[in-house]
Amino acid sequence: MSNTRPKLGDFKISNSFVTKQLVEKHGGLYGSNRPGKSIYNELPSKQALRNKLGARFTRKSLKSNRHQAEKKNKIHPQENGNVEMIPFQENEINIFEVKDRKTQWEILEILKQLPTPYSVRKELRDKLFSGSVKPRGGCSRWWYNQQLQWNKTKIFCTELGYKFELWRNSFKSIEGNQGSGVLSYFVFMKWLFFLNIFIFALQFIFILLPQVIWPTGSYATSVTGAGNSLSSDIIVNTTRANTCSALYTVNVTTASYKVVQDFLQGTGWMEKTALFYGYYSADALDLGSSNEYIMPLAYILVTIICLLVSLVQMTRHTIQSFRETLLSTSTKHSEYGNTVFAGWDFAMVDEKSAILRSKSIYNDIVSELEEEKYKQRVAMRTGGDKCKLYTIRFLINIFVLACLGGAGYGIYSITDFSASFTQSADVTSKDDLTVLLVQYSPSIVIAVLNGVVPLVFGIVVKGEDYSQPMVVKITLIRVVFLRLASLAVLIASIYVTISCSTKDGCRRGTSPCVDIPCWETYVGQAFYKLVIMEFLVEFAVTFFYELPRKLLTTKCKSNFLQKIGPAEFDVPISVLDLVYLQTLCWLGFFYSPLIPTMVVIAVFVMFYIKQLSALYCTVPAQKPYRASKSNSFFMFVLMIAFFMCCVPVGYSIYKVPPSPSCGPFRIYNDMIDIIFITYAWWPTTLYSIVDTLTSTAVIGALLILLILIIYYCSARSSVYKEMVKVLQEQLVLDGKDKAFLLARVNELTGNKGGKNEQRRERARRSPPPPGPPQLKTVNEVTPNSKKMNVSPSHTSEIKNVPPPADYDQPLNYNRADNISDARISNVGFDFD
Amino acid sequence: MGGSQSRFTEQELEDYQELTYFTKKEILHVWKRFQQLDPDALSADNNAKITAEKIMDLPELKVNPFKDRICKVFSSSGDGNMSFEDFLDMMSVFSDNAPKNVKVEYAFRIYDFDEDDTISSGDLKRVVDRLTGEKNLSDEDMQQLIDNIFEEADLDDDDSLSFAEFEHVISKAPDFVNSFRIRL
Repeated sequence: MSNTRPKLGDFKISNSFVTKQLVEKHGGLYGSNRPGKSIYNELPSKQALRNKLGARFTRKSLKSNRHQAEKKNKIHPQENGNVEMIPFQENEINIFEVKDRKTQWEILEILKQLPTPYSVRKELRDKLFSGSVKPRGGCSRWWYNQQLQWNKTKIFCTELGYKFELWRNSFKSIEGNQGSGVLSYFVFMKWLFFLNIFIFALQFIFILLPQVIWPTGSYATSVTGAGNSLSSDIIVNTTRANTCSALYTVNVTTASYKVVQDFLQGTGWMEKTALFYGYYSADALDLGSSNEYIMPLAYILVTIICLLVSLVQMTRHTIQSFRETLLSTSTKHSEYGNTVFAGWDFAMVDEKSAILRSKSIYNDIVSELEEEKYKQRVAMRTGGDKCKLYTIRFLINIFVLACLGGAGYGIYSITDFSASFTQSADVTSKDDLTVLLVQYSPSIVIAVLNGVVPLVFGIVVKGEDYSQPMVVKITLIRVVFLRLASLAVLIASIYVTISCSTKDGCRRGTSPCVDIPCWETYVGQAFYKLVIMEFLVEFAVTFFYELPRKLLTTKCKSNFLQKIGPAEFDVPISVLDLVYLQTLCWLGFFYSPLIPTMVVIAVFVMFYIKQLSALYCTVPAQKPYRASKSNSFFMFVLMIAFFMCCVPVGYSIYKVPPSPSCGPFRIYNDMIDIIFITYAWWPTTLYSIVDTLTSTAVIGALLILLILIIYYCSARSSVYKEMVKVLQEQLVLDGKDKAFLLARVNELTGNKGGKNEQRRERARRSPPPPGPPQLKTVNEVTPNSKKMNVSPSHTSEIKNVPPPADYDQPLNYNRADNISDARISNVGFDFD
Repeated sequence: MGGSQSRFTEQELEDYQELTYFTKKEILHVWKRFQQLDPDALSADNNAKITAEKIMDLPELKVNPFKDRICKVFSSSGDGNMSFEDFLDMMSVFSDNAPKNVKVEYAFRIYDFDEDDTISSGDLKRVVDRLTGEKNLSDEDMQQLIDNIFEEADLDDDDSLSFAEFEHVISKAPDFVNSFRIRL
């Protein structure tokens, strides 16, 4: 028997240290001298170590783990053993030297996080700050003062922001009523609103205002590049532009019916307004005192900047939400924990919604348990079953593709028909209403397809026997495809109409081609109609479908109607609608600079329409939409849509010749020429620098560098995945070690365990102490049996470890008890 | 605003701002809501305690299935009656600015019904019962659910979740931060 009992003060809080002390200093556990073999070797983790023979638990890695653990749990026993001080030591703040404001500030940050009542924190703070505070000298004091000022400004700005925060009360009532899933839709809407305001502001300030305010100037050399040797090979044809612009006339009728129709179609009196591309001039506007504003350059630069800013904003938003979802899906996905512990939305206020939420949690749990049974069913599928299922799935996918193909063909033929009808000779003899309908026919067809085909998809997917989350994903992907495909077909058919080969000198089509004097305005008109249509559809769905349904099902006393109930707020489809609107904005804003304005107004009005729908007309869905899961999915769809938009716009800037009759690029053969002309006027040094930078060698080198960086990052991430697995295994083994040790202790201390068992029970049941507790040391106790914890991020009061009364009693038995209760987060198990 | 501001000294407001996640304006707003619960008791003494029943009348807590546990956990006297400081604490933890680890710590205490610092299967059963409201899961389903949760969360196989295991589960639950939030 060893007679050097470790004193109370020797006990460190480190879990592994305790084990080591117990094991090494006593050569076994409390006098159980098993000859030769120490208990150390029997620990499950040691056994696992032997069995593994792996590089994972090499001496070196364990040593480094121990180093980390020691650094984390560094405690100077002579100074204090307060476990509440762990977070301070963790951050390497010496609390006995709280002498300057910077340390004070850091301490405050940590204090805020302590999970103790306010009075305790206040006590702690007063005690810590009771000494005098020495002002720091010179540079650091100035820096500290700056930080203080910055904090104050930040607080002031947040409070100011609360006053002006848009729709704050609406958000609160929506969240209380429908839950945070629906709220995320409105937050997304607000984000899009501000993005569009930015685009609108740029276009308004730099394109619309100059054109309206300043008189048109002339085709100066900065615009035509005349007289510059570097731009001599760019063809600029000002005479053709002048003649063709004069030939571009529009019949404007002032009959009131016509006015409205023209407003809806973008033709007639609307065509030559600032709404469309054709209004803007190609010259250098005269700003007075020989300053000029180069309109074509402004137009192109604003377009590029808007697209870049949208991309940057989207990337930032995607990365934020991507991080959260990545964390949850990289390790084994824990559905049940999420449903049970994060299932209840604490922000809910409305009682009916709360009842619905309970029901949906119940449904969630039941359906997740069904998932298990589904997986078993899948595992039990025979070969024949699988064959049949895959054939069915294949056929259904063919059917879906056929639907998409049919929709595409329908849109194409309608657009063709609409274009040729409008330009045909006998159009004036037709009825006004017919003309309006035909003009709107592509938009109507697209809207109808967008409404009907998803329903078909929803029915069809039931035959494929997927699990529930997979069903939602697949249906969403198909609907996204449908929308993007219909837009793509529309663009393609417009392109075919424009690039028809027989053209006259002013690039207007002659028969059999459709005569379009200004094709950019034509494209702008198409998107204008689409935006108006989308807005009308949203309006109609809420007011002519959801509202009557709600009124019918709640006011009428029919059983049947009651069972149907009001409509559900379908978040995924609503988000797709928003994404679609934003896609239209990005596609159209080059050809119609006021489309962002329209979209801003549309989103603003739609907010209130949707708010009415969410608060009054609809109920929360049976399966509540989980904000986190699909947030990144929708941003991803938005990104795909964005890149899809860049392609037509980019192609038309580079390749499609602009019409000579209208617009800021009428004098050029390609829209991009203005960039080359401007670039040619730069000083030679700048010119040669840019030339070198854009040469193939530099770009090639940059590409290779980028590929190397990507490779490095992906290698690092796979290493982290390995690391996670290793740590998880270590956690499990730690736990097993603890259980083993506890069992041994129990076994060895036999009936003494009974007494301590009783003491533990008593301690557990007594209530927490009133009043401010003093700072406790490791060896004190409060009747509040909060367990000691080793993790640096939490503190709590520690259990009492009474001094052992006699020699045979195991030292600090409660300490051994604490082994089992110590938080597992101490990963660095310092075996050697 | 002027009326409620005069109830606190500048130093007190400064203290509150330093030690919670609120700004002064938010603190005064919280005070306003707290006062509406029981104006008479508070007119005399700022630090008077309001009974748990009155706290649970707050619209944000009324429909919450864990409202009694919330009151108990945040009450410094442990019986559910809260003073303003307790209430401020509570709202600070539930606010947007509180970091995740603070929320996790308190969530653990709220879900630990028998207050033994672990979430045992009994605790879990009560949590799920409260969540599902009127409809209760069948015994078989409940057992299956508890087994599944322990299978993925209980790393040391002791049939209860310690704090570290709970934290581990929450780190994989992406909805936690969004749902563990009350806005006044």
